[in-house]
Amino acid sequence: MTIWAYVVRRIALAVLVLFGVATITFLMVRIVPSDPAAVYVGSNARPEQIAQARRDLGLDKPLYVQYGIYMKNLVKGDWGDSLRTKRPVLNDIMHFLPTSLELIITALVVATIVGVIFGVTTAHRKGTWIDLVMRVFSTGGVSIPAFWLALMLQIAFFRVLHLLPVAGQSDIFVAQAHPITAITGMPVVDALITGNWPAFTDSARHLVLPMLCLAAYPMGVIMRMTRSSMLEAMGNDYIRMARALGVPPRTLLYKDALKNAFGPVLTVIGLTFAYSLTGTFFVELIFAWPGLGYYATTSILSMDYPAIMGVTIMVAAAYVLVNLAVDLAQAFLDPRIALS
Amino acid sequence: MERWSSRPGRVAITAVLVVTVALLAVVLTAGCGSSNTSGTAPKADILRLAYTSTVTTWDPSASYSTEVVYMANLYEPLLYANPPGSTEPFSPALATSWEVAKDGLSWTFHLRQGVTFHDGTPFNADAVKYSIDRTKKLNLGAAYLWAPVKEVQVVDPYTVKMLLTYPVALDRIAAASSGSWMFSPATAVKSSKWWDAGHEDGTGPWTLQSYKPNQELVFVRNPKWWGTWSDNQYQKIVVEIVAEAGTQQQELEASQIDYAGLVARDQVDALAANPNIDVVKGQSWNSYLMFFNTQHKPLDNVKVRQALSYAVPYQDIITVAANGLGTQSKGPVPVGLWPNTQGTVTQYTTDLTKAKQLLSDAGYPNGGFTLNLTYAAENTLENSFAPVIKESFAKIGVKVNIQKLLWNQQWAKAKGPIAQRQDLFVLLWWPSLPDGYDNLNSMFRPETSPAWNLAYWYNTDFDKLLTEAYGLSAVPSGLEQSQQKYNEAQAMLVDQAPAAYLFDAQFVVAKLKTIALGTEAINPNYPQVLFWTKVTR
Amino acid sequence: MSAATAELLAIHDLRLQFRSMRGLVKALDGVELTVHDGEILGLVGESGCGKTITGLAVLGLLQRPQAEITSGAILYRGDDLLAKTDAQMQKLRGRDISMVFQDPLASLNPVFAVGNQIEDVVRLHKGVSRKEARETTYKALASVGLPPDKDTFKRYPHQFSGGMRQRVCMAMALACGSPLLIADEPTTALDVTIQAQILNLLLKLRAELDVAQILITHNVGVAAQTCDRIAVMYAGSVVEEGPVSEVLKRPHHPYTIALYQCLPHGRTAAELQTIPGTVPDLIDPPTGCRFHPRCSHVMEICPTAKPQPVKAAERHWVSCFWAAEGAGLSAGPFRPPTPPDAPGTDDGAPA
Ligand SMILES: Nc1ncnc2c1ncn2[C@@H]1O[C@H](COP(=O)(O)OP(=O)(O)OP(=O)(O)O)[C@@H](O)[C@H]1O
Ligand code: SF4
Ligand SMILES: [Mg+2]
Repeated sequence: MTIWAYVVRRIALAVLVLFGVATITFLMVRIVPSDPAAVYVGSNARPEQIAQARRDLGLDKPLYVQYGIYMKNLVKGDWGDSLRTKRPVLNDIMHFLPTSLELIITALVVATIVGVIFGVTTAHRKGTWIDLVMRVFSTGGVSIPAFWLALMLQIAFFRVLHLLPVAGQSDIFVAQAHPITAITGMPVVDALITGNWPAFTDSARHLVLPMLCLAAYPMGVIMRMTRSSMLEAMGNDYIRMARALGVPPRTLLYKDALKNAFGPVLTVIGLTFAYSLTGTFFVELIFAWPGLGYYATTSILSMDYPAIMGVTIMVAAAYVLVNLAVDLAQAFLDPRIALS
Repeated sequence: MERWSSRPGRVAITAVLVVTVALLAVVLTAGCGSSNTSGTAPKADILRLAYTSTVTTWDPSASYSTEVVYMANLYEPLLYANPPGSTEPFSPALATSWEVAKDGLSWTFHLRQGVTFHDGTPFNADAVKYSIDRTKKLNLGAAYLWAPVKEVQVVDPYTVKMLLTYPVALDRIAAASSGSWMFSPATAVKSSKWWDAGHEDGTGPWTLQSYKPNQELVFVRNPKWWGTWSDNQYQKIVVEIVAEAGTQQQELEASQIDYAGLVARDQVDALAANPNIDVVKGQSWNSYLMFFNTQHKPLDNVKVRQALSYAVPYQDIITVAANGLGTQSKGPVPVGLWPNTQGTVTQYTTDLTKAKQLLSDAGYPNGGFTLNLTYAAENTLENSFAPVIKESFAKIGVKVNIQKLLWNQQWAKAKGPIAQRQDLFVLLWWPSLPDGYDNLNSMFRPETSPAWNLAYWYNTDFDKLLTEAYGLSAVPSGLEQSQQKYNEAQAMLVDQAPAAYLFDAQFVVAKLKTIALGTEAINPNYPQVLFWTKVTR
Repeated sequence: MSAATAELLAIHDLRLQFRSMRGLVKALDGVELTVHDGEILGLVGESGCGKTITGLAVLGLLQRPQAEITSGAILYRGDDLLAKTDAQMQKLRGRDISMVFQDPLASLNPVFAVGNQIEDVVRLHKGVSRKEARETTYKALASVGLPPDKDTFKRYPHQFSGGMRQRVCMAMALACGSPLLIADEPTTALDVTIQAQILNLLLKLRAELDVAQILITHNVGVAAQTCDRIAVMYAGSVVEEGPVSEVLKRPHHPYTIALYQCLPHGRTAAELQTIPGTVPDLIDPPTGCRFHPRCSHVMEICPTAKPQPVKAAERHWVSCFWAAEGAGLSAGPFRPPTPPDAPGTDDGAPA
């Protein structure tokens, strides 16, 4: 199978998966007792207004009809309007997604770099104090609750050290004096490409704590997986052979063994990406980070079902695509893996 | 034999070092970065506010939610309702004077001259008619407030006359915190999409400069505002959306913001102890009550409801949940808001002996029944006092099952099939206009299908009394009589106890000492609103 | 028989132990071994006798601190490898001494193209440009009988047959011109027909590139067919060493005799176990001659002292009291095995 045929088949499969996700989510958000019409008109609304909204939104139709309409619109690219913001859900998502992505991507890059380096080191130094310290570190990353970590980070870097801002995406004064021109929607990136240095350093500083908070769990998971995967790879004959031919330890570890060990690590990176898409919800709330997570949280709290559906489909789509990317990357890394 | 070289360990250390150094570099350079800010407005001219309020709509006709905190600074009503304790109940805004006909059926407003909307369109009688007509026609949000208005007549460019179908206190409606805004007729051609992209067109002192949803809103002075600006007022308002009280607090303590609109009640003392910070507390029209489901046994028995009203630990609730920032309610209308009974109606106290007596009178000598209590998961206060109620009821043998639901689910359940509804419904209520009639009308009038009368308590005597009282309140001469009728009606609510009236909550915000809040900066008639013109350096 | 002259590698009295959960594994017990320039030495012995670890010890590949060399010397062109630093050893491996292993599929990194794997080793040791390294790689491929083209270069290990993989391993091991190759059972994992091809390749490499080799094998037949000399190991020591024809035709050590008698030409590994008795436990090895519990010629002295190598014939050494006595060999003082033509070592002077 050519790679394109494979990708096309996987995407077709993904569409099916998304269809299923959309259906299940629709049923779930519509079966719980909540009144979308009441959400739409807001608190303190009169019964007549709610009834009016129910008609306007087509909520008086049978559920399967509503489902049919929703799916038909979805296929046409109309994800419906948020009950709360009244804006098209897709617009809302596209508005909030880049900010979240900036957080998630930097967190995952840091988590991967640190996780892999620590994983390789602990595998190599198995049983030494370095191994012990780093494993304690990774266990911490995996098991410390995000809210507690957030608090600790804020206390350490903000309260005690006065090094980093406690929350938000920019300092008000800096943002007012050096407004960022939105290009990608990711402030750090936008500030960088427009050469807006004061805004760049400011937004980069604001990124650090939420990023670390979000990176902790993936870092721990990636490190563990790298460690066990490396231990396995290091026991292989080709490592002994490479050593017998004078390949230096660093190359052995980071090239010969790591490329072999990276397959499972890629899988967990993919999984933690999916985790981070939802993990960011909480982090964004604590750090007042105006991203998709914040939008999703408020949507869930207000039972804003088109928004909930939109976010769910978005996350599912990202999940499916990341999985595809992981599978392709694995095939790229390991020639023995056949795409099928 | 080879010992594995120590290099890979060094790789790890080097990598960590590089990351750390990079982070530090960012951190330190930014230390200087923030100090060399230059640009449009000097720092001292910017007021930095942390709010939780997101914008659900920018349409002034439809607005009826958290965005009121912005609307009230962008738009103006015809009248402002003064805070309790003022000599006059209202002060002029876009109307300079007004009068009501003896029958209460026609109101005349004389408009302020020389006022323009932000787009330059002059404000006049046509604009008033346009605003009210459009709001009524869209029938969204608080549009129902204008329901009694049959017609808005343009008498002359600066006089409007409103004809009513039945007499009401229209001044209170004209001063409401939602639905009362005057906006430019030039926006008639705009769609709701245009509004919701972040546009406004009012007459208020502030204009919206930029809007990043869920993130940041920037407002600048309206140079053509009819009021007068003084030097110590701010030039620019930057609002940061910060959902967590803890985060707002930390930002305030770091002087990253000037004002925190959300303060965790258990942090009040800690904040007050900070020498740079003032905690500002005051009256609000927020009140908590708990409906008894009068259609479920045994709550259909008034004695049981009275017993439970005696078993509510009012003071404990205030101490535990509100950290003392509240007072026991005197009926469903908060103290200070018209037409509160002003002490003329006896209220329940916490008295378990009486409660037990009443229960045994009702045929439940040792309680022995179980009640389902629902409250809104989003509300942290309700979260902390629901168990206090449960504990106290347990002492008279009444078991309470607490159900924590998202507000929408709590509400949907209350409106669902009768058998599945809750027994006890905890609600935070605030009126949509400076008139406690809204509380009585919304929560205790008979409804065809339940909306807010979540006691499902339908009493025709009460209904009649309320209608009379409301009608009488339309004209100043009827106010005294109106109050009497209202007192009678509220005495019924206490006696019949369709709900337990828990407490009137105080608002609490915190600010840096470097900013000053004028007396009218916060006004309970405009819940959550900070009037930015009243904030000075 | 080649005109082997200079001593390329000499191992003297190598003692090595492993720390294990059960205790100290006394794995090598005074190994004596010599390889000359351009010579193929067969190292035979039953499983677990220490053939592989001897090879690994030469390359310094045993993992510390579990493995500990307690005494001895490994001389490469007269230099003691045991005195070298890790960095020096690393440079030496692949350039001066290389090693290939039993399972060629496992020995090649599955995720890199074989050409790149060879090229990387070349670049590592020669510090040449990518272009030169590529040329060297093609030469190496050609020298092991693989087509020196892009197709071979770009292929991954799993795309080769077993024999070709072993050729790739050898190309990698010899690409930098190592004068000494330690081949640890290079044919065991292969079909019989392929085995012969690989053995021919070893001979060809010696003929064309003058590569000296230590051929570790279970298979005495393989050794007979390929090697110049043969060293028989038992439980951590070389018990007999000499020219192939000499040792196989006239074995002196009871172990070699048992091996040879129960091993018609060409029989393999499993049959080595048919010698009565069991392989000794190296944690608590038999005292004196480690073979004595299984030896049919055991004498009183055997459990009490370790027999030293004595000369059984020209260039033929054996470590056995019985052999020394019964065959009337001189049980003189210990003499290390030495190259036949090396001057001044033929007269039995103590080491
Ligand atoms: N890391 C180690 N720890 C403990 N003992 C070891 C270790 N490595 C090898 N040994 C022991 O050393 C002895 C020699 O092992 P070696 O692998 O050299 O045997 P071999 O002669 O190559 O056998 P085979 O023909 O099976 O490959 C064995 O008894 C083995 O148990
Ligand atoms: S030394 Fe003794 S035990 Fe060892 S092989 Fe010779 S005879 Fe047998
Ligand atoms: Mg072996």
